[in-house]
Amino acid sequence: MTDARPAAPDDGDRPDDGSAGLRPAGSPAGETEGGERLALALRAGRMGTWHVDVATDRATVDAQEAELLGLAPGTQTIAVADFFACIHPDDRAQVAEAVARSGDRDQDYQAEFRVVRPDGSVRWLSAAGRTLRDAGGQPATVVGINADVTERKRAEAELRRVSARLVQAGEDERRRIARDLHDELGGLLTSLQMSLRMNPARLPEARAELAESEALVKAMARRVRELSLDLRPSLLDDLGLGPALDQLTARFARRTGVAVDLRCEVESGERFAPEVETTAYRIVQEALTNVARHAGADRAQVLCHREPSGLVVHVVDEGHGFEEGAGGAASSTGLSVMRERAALVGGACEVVSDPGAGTRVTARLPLP
Amino acid sequence: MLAEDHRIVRAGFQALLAAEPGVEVVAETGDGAEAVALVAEHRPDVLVADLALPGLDGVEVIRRARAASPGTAAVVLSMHDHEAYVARAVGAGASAYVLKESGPEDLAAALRAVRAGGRFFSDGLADPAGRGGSRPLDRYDALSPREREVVHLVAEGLTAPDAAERLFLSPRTVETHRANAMAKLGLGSQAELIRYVLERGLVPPRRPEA
Repeated sequence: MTDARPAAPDDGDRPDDGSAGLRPAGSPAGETEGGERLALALRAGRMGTWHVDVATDRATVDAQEAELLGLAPGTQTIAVADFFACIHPDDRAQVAEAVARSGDRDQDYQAEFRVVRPDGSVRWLSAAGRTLRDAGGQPATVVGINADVTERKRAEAELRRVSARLVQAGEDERRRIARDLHDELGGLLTSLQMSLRMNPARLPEARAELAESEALVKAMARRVRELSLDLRPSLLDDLGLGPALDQLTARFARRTGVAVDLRCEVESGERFAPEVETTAYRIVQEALTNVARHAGADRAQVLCHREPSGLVVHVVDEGHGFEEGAGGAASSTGLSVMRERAALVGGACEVVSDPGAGTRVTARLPLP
Repeated sequence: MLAEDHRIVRAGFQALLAAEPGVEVVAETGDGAEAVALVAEHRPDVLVADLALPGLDGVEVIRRARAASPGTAAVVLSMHDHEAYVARAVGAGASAYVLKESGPEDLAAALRAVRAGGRFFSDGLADPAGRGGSRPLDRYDALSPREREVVHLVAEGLTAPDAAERLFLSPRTVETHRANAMAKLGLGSQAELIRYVLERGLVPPRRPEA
């Protein structure tokens, strides 16, 4: 639909808008076999059609569209302003902006918004529209369809909830196992090491064997600690993102030989929501893994700071980079996992890569 | 006095401490809250405490024990080797931090050090008090040499293609460097970038073209 921008004087000639096959809304659609098929398709897709006459600023709607908007049965035309009145107040600005943008750029208009019906029920509509111009190039008509996508929207929201729960359950489980490994098993191994250390005085003939056993236990304790850290470092829960990133980058550098410059402008001791800290940590972890695997870089940077919009984390390397959209690294699951994790906390993760400049992963995570 | 929840470790440390000349273990416990009460009751010279105690977190045990008995020096026993844990323990009033994996020798050394009024930290750990605090980071330091070149040329008014030609790079690569630099500096627009560069005095103000 269009907003109420002043329309150019119409020369009165209805232009051939190419929509003849798309039977104009408001006229009976069942006259011909083609019209019958169209009517069936629209009904099956829960779609309604409309067209707006720019000169009169009125919209003509078909029966199905009237139903979608919750208009009185039999309504055939409404003022554009009345159409906007059907839209959920929070979505009006966004729809008006989409309309204006499509007019300015001469692109098809697309939007998703909620309508509030007279009975108070809220439905999600998806809209697609196109501006048709008269012989003088002035906008004359806007034609479009609306489809009821409430079920899809509900399913998407449910999917997000399930996905978030899954991620949370995974983190909880990792936290539990990591703690058990570190505190329980680690504690027991320390005890064992201690008792081996205490005994040589009483068993002088077994001194060498006991020393060997102690070395084995020590190596085992170290391995258990590494495993625990790999799963989920207790630092993240105990002391927050800054120290956890510090530990992560130091271990990564030791293990891979890739030097990491960590610049964390987060106050030491500053805490964020646990799911934001976990998300930031996991994204940095994944991005660094990609640096080690694909970038061929000998150094990487991890930057972390607060902006008004929230917590911002960058992982930057000046390695090989890749052509975006070229498949391979660009479409690897690692990148999509980072994007998904950011989206689950309402944030976004962007990956910018260039074969000449390297790769930058930026996550923006809103803080409540 | 000794607070450690693993019985064998406690027994081991107790045997070790008892063997040290001039050391007497006046009390021991595996519970955090009880540890605080015992310190208040016995006012020992030294409290040796595990960081992970049931009942009350070891750091909190130290804080409360030191409040109840300021003359008691605290020695931490821990499996965590990250400096943030050390800093937290020292912040609560600990004067020594011993990693369990470094074994009984470190504990004995720590005990001697704190009884002499000193401090002790196991190998690989730094005394947080010895570090001059964290100085504020300068974001400009985060830029790579390439990014700095690009930032300067762009701030001087060169377009991406011009800067690319100057640096023998593709315009897209220059564009990426510019975007990366702006992300690192936390700047949202070209205008902000130019203002940043001018405010920092990184390039002289533009001269009118001759």
